[in-house]
Amino acid sequence: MASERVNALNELDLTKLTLEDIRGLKNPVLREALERVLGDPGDAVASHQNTTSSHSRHSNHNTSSAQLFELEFAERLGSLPGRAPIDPPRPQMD
Amino acid sequence: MPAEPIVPFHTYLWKIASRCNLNCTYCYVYNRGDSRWRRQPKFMTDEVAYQTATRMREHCEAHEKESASIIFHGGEPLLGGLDHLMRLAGIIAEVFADSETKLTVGMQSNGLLFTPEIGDFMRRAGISVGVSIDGPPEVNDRNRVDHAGRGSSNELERRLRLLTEEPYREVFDGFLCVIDPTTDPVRTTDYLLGFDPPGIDFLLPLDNHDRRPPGKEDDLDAAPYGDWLVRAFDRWIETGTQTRVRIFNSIIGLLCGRASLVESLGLEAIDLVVVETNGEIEAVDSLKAVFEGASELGYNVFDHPFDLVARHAGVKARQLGVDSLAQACRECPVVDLCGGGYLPHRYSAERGFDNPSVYSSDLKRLITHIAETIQRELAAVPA
Repeated sequence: MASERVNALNELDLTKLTLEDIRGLKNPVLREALERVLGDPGDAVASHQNTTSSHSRHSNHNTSSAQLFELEFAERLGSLPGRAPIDPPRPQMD
Repeated sequence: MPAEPIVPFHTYLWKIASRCNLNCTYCYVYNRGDSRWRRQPKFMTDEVAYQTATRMREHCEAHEKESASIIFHGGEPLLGGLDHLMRLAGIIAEVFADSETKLTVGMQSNGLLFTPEIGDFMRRAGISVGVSIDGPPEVNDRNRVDHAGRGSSNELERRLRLLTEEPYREVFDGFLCVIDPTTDPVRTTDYLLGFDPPGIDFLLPLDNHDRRPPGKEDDLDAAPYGDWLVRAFDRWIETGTQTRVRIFNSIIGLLCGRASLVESLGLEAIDLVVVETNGEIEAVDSLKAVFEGASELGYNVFDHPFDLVARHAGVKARQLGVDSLAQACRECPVVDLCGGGYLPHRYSAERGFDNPSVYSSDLKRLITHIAETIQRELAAVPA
């Protein structure tokens, strides 16, 4: 039974789905999930990264919603009391 | 002879603390096959951080990366307190100050050390945090215990009330939840959704063919984790929530021919690398769950550039797609979707990683259910 259902998956080709196909979906969670996938150019993940990136299983860092790391605060940090100077990198050995 | 092309790294997991204030029973760092954490420095030093960031920038520029991602990880990454976090962030900001590569920086934490001061800094620096939690207190406290064996839920709920409300909500990424198949998936899903997280991911425990997962000891064809996930999926779509569930969203994307959102599904090349507190570089740190030293590559940020790491056989093995999988996987109709499952789940001493995932039946159960659900919902759409 299980193998028949898995084999039936081959018959079900969702790769040709379009936004038009899912417009009438009643379930909002499924519709939103499919819209995000099918409306790819507007997907923040895709536009944010220039590669298809693999995300760590061991973190839930959501790059689609995360703001960019703020580089400008480095100077302000530099004036914090007690901040040790950064050691220069060791020479490359290879 | 020209160098063989490589897949450049995108995500860098920085192990900024090698100790933890919790002692979770299933932890792959402390309570599985590997004890090397004992010889790691407790915290990543400025020197290691500077060298890691410098190697990262060198690699990003060599491959014209427009963006890259850093994840602070542990142990517990907040164990070093606000000062440690500020120093590391400051080093990254200095090294990448005039770089063309845009960074996102996140953290995976148990949440117990989150404070308003840390939250204020994270907001200012643009650092976000995901929290590990297994469900409501009676579930979470089964495994997520401190070094005296006491549950962590009371304190965690207090910290979560802080993190999930304004003004800190903007730095909250969501939850990671390890599945216990003997628990109620509906109750766990509802409890987690009660915090209105941006995202959740449900994780299969880090077991393998030699240490079979609870509930599959005698029968690998049984699918208790698949059954659990099916019920969680049904509850997820029933609620109307806007929270993403990464394993479900990944499978929906894969069914539609898109890329996975997580390394443990799909066949895309893995572009993730791990740096330990002492600067050692690893490809999959969770291989620690398999046997002593399984995650070692023999490289470190002082002596080896990330380009060299990307050429290591242990890294490239995760970039070969279907060719790297067991014969049974290559012949399976869902191989494009599950990708053979997560590497540590495939291990046995007899055959190494040349096995299907120990959760193969569970993944098939879930994938088939999601596909059938989409098909049924599509069939109900008026013509």
